[in-house]
Amino acid sequence: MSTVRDQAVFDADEDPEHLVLTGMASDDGEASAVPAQVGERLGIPALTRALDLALQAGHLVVTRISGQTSQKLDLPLPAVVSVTDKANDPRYPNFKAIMAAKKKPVTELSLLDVGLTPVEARSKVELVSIQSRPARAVGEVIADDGQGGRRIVEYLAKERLV
Amino acid sequence: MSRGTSGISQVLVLLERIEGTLSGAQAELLTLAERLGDVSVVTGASGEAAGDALSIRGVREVYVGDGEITPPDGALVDLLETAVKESEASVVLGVDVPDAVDALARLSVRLDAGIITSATGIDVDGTVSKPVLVSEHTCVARAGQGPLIATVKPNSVEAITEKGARPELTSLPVKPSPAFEVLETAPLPTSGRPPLTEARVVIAVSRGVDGDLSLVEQLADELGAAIGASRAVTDAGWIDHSAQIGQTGVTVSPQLYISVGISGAIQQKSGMQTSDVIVAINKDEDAPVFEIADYGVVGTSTRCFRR
Repeated sequence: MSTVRDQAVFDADEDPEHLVLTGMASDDGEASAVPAQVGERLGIPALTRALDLALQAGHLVVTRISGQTSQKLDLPLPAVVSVTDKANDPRYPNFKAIMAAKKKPVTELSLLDVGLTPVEARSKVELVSIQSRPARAVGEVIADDGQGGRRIVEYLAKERLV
Repeated sequence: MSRGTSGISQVLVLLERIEGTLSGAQAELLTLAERLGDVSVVTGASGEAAGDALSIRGVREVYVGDGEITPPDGALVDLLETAVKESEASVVLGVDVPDAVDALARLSVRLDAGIITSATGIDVDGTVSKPVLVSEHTCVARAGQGPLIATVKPNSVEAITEKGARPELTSLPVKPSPAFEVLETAPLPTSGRPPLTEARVVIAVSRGVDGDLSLVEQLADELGAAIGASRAVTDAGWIDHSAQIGQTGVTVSPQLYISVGISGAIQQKSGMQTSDVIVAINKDEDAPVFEIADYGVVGTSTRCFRR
């Protein structure tokens, strides 16, 4: 249900070297629509779901999957890139780094700061209803007594799945 | 849903690429679109490829660019936007794959509209259902302003397409203009099996196979199944990354899902729990996968398969 109203936090013309890096998807909506929408608002390209990413002298080299093809693309900055969990190995901070991070400045922006009214920031999608999926009934679980494979085949045959 | 003067919705379907014939998911999308109104298609493919693949009953018009436009070229969004204007579409649909989501997400900004991804159903009244929160909930939503822009998950409807006359082809004045240089492209390894997200049967394997997929491949070929895998298996390089099922991989919703040795942690579960029937094999009787399996066998996979 993505409805992004990101305001340009930088001017692409003034910050030619800028890279906006995002994750792959949110945990709740899982839409993965925001990176492309941010790219559109900033008027710059967005390459999504990078499997690999390297920065070389103002250029990005991005590997991603497009349809049934793996593609390696060279893209000048500025750009938006979203990454999958394959893009690198996480480097976990030590205690000293965690303490240092707490001192980093955090800038909070209000809607007003980015020139938006509450109406403009409203979702452009209307939620009609939401309900829990009925829990899956717990099925039959058997211990493999050496006949497990055959029992599965019998079950599939009974359910007309094979 | 806003309707055209004829009283019937104009539905524009984005098929970002066409490779020979339509994929199962593309045929499904056209089937769904036809239930919603008058269907036209916009594609980055060449006019010739589009005309051949889209000689289908119900497809009225096909919009192509001035030259083939391949994702993630941003010109695809220009083409899409122009086609929306030409067709006066009030509904714009794509298959729920990253390239289509990206193009439609950019379109939603241009049209000051919303976007609903991963839809599993769209009603003629313009309401869209989609699973959310790792598929634990189903929500129904509709466009609040602007056209309805949505992507539809494969295996949501049964594809029924009938051969028809060649559609009217309109070439729009949009040329390819990639902002990037293509350094390399390589086709993903093909197995001759159905695509993972479109397959009616999926067999998913875990680390337990220890690099040896031969038994699973044999079973998959007998069942006409696609093979998916847990993160551990794709990380180990035993199968391509694109086969990873779960929150950070693909979501599948087949008629039959056979889980082999996967414990079924929430990240994995979210990628498969909307399957019709789940059969699980795991040597740990407490594995969470047994909580959602229709049929479970506590044992080792090798022994089950050999029989």
